[in-house]
Amino acid sequence: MTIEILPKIIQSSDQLQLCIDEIESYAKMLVRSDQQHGTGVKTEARLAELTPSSMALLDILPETDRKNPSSIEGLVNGLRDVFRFASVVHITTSGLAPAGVKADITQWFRTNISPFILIAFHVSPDIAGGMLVRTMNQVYDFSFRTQLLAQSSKMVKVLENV
Amino acid sequence: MNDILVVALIFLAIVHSITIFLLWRLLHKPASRPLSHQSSPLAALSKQAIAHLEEETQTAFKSSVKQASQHFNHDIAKTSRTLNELIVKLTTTVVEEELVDYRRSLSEARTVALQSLTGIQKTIKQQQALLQADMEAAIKNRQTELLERLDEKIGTVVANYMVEALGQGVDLGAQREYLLASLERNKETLKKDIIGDHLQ
Repeated sequence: MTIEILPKIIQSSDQLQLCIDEIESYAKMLVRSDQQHGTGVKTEARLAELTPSSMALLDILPETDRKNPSSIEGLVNGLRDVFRFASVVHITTSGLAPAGVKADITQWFRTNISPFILIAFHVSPDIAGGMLVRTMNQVYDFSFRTQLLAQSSKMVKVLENV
Repeated sequence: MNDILVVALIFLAIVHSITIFLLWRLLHKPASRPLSHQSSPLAALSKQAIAHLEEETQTAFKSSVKQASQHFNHDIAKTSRTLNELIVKLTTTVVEEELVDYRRSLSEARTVALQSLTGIQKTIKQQQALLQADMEAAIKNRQTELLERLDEKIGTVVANYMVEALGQGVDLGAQREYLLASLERNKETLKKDIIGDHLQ
């Protein structure tokens, strides 16, 4: 199964792992259902219990394959490879980011950097605003605090004009 | 000098008196003494001669005494005049001269004192000016130093205040555009960093 891009709703590696586990359970349930020849209501009921994240991953498959256990197994294997090899970027914001903001940031990374990149969001009020982006090698400081401190001479000029 | 003259005159008078007294005694020696024992030439003189001699001697004595007395008086007067002149001179001229010298010395001393005082005042003013300049420079340096410290620290203080004040109150939804713009500005760098690492 070739996955072109992860959905933007899937952000962190923990979330991906949870989704993989959930989809696996769903696939097993499908197998049991098939064995028991009990498709229909039970399967639909189980599908309704999946989280939106897992549903978004399942949507990677064509509609006809979403109830096919072997297709789902292929998806799970692909997701496991992504989990194993994907780069992880840590983003720290001053407060809890809304889901929409997190999704947009994730989408930007997946569009511009890598389609399988995983984003871990953290919170630190000390930065006042903006964000810190931490990769394996470097930290990119876009925080308000750093910019305020870097522009302290401007503060002095403003005060001179007061 | 006058004293010596007076003493000399008195001495002469005394000598004359003694001489005359001796002559007189000699002339009026008692007759009881036998003429045979008289071997002096005066014995041969007559009474008239003796009286005459006595008179002359007295006259000479009186004259000497008078002369000595006149001379003494003259000297006394002269000495008195001299003494008076000296006293006058002393009380006027010498005292005046001394007063003049005293006034001159006093004036000189006052002048020196004034010059010294003027010099001291000038030195004090110069020192005051130097001290004031040093103090002003030190104050200015301290002011500049404090202002530099204030400039250095105020930015940090205000930034920290804003961080503390904002806390978690800043709306991240409102920051969305800023966050994406920051990522966009550093896209190439992030790409090299992340993709390059991944390829390794």
